[in-house]
Amino acid sequence: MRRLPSKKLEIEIGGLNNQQFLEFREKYAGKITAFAFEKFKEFQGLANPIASAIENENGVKASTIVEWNIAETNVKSEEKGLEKQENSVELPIENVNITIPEKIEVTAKQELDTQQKEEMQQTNNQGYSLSDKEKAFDIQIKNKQITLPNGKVNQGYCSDFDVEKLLPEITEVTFEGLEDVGLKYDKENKQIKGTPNTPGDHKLILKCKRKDWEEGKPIFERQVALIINPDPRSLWKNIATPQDIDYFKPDEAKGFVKVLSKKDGGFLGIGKKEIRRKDIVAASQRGRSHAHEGKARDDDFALNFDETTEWYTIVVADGAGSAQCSRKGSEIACKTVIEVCKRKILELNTDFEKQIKMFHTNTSDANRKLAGDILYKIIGVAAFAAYKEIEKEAQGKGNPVKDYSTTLLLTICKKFEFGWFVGAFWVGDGGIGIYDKEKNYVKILGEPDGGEFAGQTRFLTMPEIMQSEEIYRRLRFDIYDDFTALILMTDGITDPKFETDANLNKIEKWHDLWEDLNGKNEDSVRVDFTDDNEESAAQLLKWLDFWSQGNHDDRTIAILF
Amino acid sequence: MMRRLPVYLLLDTSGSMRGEPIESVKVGLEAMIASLRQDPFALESVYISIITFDRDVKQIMPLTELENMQIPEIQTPESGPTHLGAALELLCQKVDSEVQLSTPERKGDWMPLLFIMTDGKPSDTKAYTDVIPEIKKRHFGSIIACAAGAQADSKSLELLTHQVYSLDTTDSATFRQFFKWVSASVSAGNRSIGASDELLLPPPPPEVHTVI
Repeated sequence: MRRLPSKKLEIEIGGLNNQQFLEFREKYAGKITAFAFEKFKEFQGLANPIASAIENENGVKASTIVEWNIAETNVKSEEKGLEKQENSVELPIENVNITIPEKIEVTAKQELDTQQKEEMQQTNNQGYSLSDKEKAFDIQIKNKQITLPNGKVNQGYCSDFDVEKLLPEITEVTFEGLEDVGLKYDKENKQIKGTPNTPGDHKLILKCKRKDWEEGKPIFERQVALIINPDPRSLWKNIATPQDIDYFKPDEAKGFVKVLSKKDGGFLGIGKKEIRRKDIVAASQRGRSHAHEGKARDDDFALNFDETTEWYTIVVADGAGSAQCSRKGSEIACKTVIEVCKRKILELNTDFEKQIKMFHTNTSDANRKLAGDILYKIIGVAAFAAYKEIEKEAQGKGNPVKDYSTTLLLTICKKFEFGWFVGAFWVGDGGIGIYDKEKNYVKILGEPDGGEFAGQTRFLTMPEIMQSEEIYRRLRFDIYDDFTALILMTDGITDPKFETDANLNKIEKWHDLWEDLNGKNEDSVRVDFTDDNEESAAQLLKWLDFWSQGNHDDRTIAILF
Repeated sequence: MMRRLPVYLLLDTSGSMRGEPIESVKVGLEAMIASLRQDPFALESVYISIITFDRDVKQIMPLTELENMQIPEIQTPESGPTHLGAALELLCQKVDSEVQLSTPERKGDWMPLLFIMTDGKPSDTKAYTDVIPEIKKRHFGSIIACAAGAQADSKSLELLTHQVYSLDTTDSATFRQFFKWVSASVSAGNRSIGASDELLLPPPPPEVHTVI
């Protein structure tokens, strides 16, 4: 069985030797494979019986042997050759399935013009005539698997490259093309180092000498691929949303509700003191993923302070990325909530405030229930009205309500002499939190609705949400002494800043967020939370542009401070 | 830690793919990776895994981030069956161990995407039929199957997904087109999945019938 007709194989394959073929293949990749394999089938007729004979006897993969036989054309004896392969020689497995019979070469040459042919011959010969031993070595180098880790533009690169570990016979190594990429080969430390400056699939030429090299002896070379990734920051495009789309919405928005200090206390106008009242600042920015495609912002927000009742209403909403009209859904939700809350507060305020005071005096379950019931009549009704308005809009346009999917996070709050009453309703992802820096305290007013996978959440527009028990279950309220900030945000902020649901409850994360807002960030963007500072809206909008890898959703944040 | 978009590629490496077809697949794959590297979203979140199937089923590349991936060598035996069923079984194992679900302490991945390319039909029909409900349980954001060439059987693929596409030939132009489309789907993947509530619901158990 070992009677391999390797000589015959040699003749049949002849034409291009392996080295020539590899270079040829590199140069004419794509072109050659198509026709080479048509011919390969003819060639297989010869190769298969030999190969399968070997496979049966030695358990070696057929294709490998075929290749090896080609590679080792200088080995005279078939028997000897086979042993050598079994014991020591590294099989050139990387390039197994490429083999070309002589016929192909003819076909190939026909496709090349004379100049290309000359070029090919020059590179093939490198000006040296190789001995059989050197030829074998050359093939060995070319077949060696050499991979370099991928790099990234403008990010330090350092990769060990010790060619002696690959092939002990090699001593001196140089890389051609490495400097063009911004890298260097450090011979001392055997490392490729530097900061890549050009993205792309670079083809480097590795040149090396054998240890016994002297003038006149060949320098071996081969191609090594090096992939340099672009910096994703440079790839994001910012395409303005076309104004003529349905439900156009500006790519960014900001808001500030200035609530001036008022004089209070004292008696008959004597001894009155200035009481500072909190302001609301909010900003919303289209995410990079939308900007990249010229798609509209889906998030929205709305703010209100009612001077007569002194109630604040703050709403943020995140339209579902996958729903076509969600930008309208979030807008309707925000607007409706503001309107309904305003109306309902006016209507129920006397009872509501009475109940809040009772609840403050005695936080019994009964009192909690009574206060909760009124809160339900305000913000529960507002949430439901938002749903109804969205449904109306959808029906009017003949669209499914689902197309308007949006989350909804809302709070109403008021300062009493005994503290702040804060009521909240929350459906979807994102977060609402009351944060007190000095007291090291944070309270999350609800639970984020998350699924098994990223991006899964619940929406206001889901029928299971618009059930009275479900709405009631989602209400939160309490009385707080005071706080640094009440913050409402969509998942465009909570994802990068808090990452997980568990982290949303961690005070350290809130400290970080607050410091971040106050200027402790990469770009030193600071929001100045001084009382009545209208500039804070623009500052907050600027802050929203922060960079966070993989987090490019729309971002909306509203802060009562 | 950011959210990853896992992408699984199942490639047929059975005997009939040997030669030009598999070379064309490689060329197409390279072009796809190069093109994804130009997409910032993909570059920041896509993780790719490649599973090949012939007589043997191998994950030739575990879930690897696009930024660091290098296309592994793909080999084809001279002849042999198409064990797509076994490939899907391996896929289930890999998805279970590699894809992260959300927990309060951990950020979940995006729903994984699955692309299947075959030029034949599953030889292990029983295994194939049995594994289909298991695949459905894994909640892929999208399963896209490609039946390449005249011998490909799109019927059996339709059991797995309604997104079955036929390619007339198995040459490089065809595969390039396929992979171009895969990369477009992957780029869109992050943005289009996630919100649909139905995907969260598991299919009803077989004994449950809809009341008329």
